[in-house]
Amino acid sequence: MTTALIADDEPHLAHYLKDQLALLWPELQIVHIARNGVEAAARIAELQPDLAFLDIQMPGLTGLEVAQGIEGATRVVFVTAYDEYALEAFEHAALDYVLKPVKAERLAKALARVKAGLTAPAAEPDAALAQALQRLMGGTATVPVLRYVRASQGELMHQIPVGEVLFFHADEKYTCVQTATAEYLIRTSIVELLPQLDPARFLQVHRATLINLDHLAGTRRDEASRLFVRFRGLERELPVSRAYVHQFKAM
Amino acid sequence: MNTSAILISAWKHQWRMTRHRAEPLWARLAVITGLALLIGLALALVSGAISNGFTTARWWQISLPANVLLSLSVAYTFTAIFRALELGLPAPWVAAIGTWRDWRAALFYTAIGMLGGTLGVLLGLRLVDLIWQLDILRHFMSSRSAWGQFLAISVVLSLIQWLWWRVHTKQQALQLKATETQLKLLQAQIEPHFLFNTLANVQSLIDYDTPRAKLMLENFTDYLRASLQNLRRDDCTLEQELETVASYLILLQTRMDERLRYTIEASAEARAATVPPLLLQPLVENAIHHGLEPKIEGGMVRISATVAQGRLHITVADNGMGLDVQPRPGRRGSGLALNNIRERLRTRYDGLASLRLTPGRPGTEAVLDLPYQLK
Repeated sequence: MTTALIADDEPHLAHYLKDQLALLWPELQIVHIARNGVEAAARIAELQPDLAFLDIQMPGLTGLEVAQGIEGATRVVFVTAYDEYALEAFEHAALDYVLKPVKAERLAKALARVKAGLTAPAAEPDAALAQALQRLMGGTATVPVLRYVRASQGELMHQIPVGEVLFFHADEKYTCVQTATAEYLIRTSIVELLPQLDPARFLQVHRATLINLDHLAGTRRDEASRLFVRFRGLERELPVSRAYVHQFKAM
Repeated sequence: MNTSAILISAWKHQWRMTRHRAEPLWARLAVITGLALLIGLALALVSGAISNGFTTARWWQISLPANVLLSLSVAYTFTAIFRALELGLPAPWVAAIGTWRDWRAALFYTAIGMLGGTLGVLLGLRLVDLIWQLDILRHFMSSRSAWGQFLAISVVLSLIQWLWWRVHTKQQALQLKATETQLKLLQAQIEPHFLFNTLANVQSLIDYDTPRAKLMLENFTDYLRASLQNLRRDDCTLEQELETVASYLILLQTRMDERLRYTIEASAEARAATVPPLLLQPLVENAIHHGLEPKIEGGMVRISATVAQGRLHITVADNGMGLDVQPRPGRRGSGLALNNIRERLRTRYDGLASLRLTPGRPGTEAVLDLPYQLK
């Protein structure tokens, strides 16, 4: 049976979508309705639904950010009332989306497409998502390239050459900077770091993760076919979200 | 601010009644002294031209310095009376007088001008007598023709001032109207995201909670009607503005459910106040969009309005994300709306009103400080 999650901060809209889905796709099982982006991300990771209907403007994380962090096979359908730029990007990348207020006819069409996609996946659906996310979330402003990361630790300040960083990984509040020998915490977010790093060297593999390709040892796929990146001289592995998996095809 | 900017500001605000003056005392004295010197010089030149006295020592030694002294005396006396009234009158009066733009202003300023002129001339003549060992004051007081001349000059000067005032204010009013209309138009734009989400909520409620859907539609209608009406109005009462805000908040509360709570508290005195339309609304929208909507647990908006000392204070406080949080992608920044409000306050109240934003604990507090006006 196909399972789905709905995420919308406005409860009436979430329930209405659920009712509409029940009419148009009775076999679809709604496993959870999330009220915010953080809840949506956690439940998607836990329940691994086949589909996620994500509102774009949500507290916590936006629908786009939730999509950026999906590691499993969950396929995203964006739901939005009005987002000029987003709609343009979705159209461009041929992504699935639904407009609010929901029109039954339009929803049926979108669902037909989604169904077709579930049985016979398109060649590069994740690449399309990554491309759309890049368009919507990647800052266009050019910022000087970062050469050193400065992290304070008690009374000390450590200056770490960017080349020595294995990865940046965001926690709830801080961003962890991992080198071969140590781990530091900084307050700069992944979103702020990304435009300051050399794109030939640093790669985004998750909403929360930027890795240094120079230190990448390889990847590992687990039994649920999720992908993880591994680093030289480090035991810790980090998950790759679906939108970014296509970057790691073997030659 | 550099010196010339301070002087220009002092000059612009010299002629309007306000208790709090931003410019330092020296700037105001410099402006008034400069003006008095110019007038004194002009009077001396006129009297010199009439009596053809430029070649005489008397003109250089007495007529020129005495005329300048007399002008300074009038200017300082006028300024002293003006300042004394600003500080001595009850604050609400001063605030009200400061906003006059019609015949009341003309009458009031002419009256102070005449009073300052008379006292200043008498004082100045006494000084001239003392310095040059003359007896002009007694001569002046006892001479009917001298009084007549003085009165005639005063009336002519007042008339000129009044005409200048009328032309100036009319021109200013036209200019302000144009700017105001443009700014209001910008603020009256209904955000598409709000529009479609509200309609989507009505759609979702129609079948399973019809009364609520009806209520929502009614509030949406109220909100739209008020927004359109406000576009055409120049003034509204705070009561009307609060009603629009209430419709908006009821809509948002239906949408956000328990994530939004709000209170509106305003005294009857405050509700009766005349305010520019669509001034408060954007502040409430900001509190929701940038403060509460992005916050997972939501929060509270408190709107309050009070009148104190001739001023109307309107506060919009939320306990949301606060001022430092970066605007989210795809959303209009809050700065745009705030700049718009400040610009409208500037064109309409010319420095007599302000919008202040302070970080709350947590959240943001926005305070509008306006002159209290009644229709």
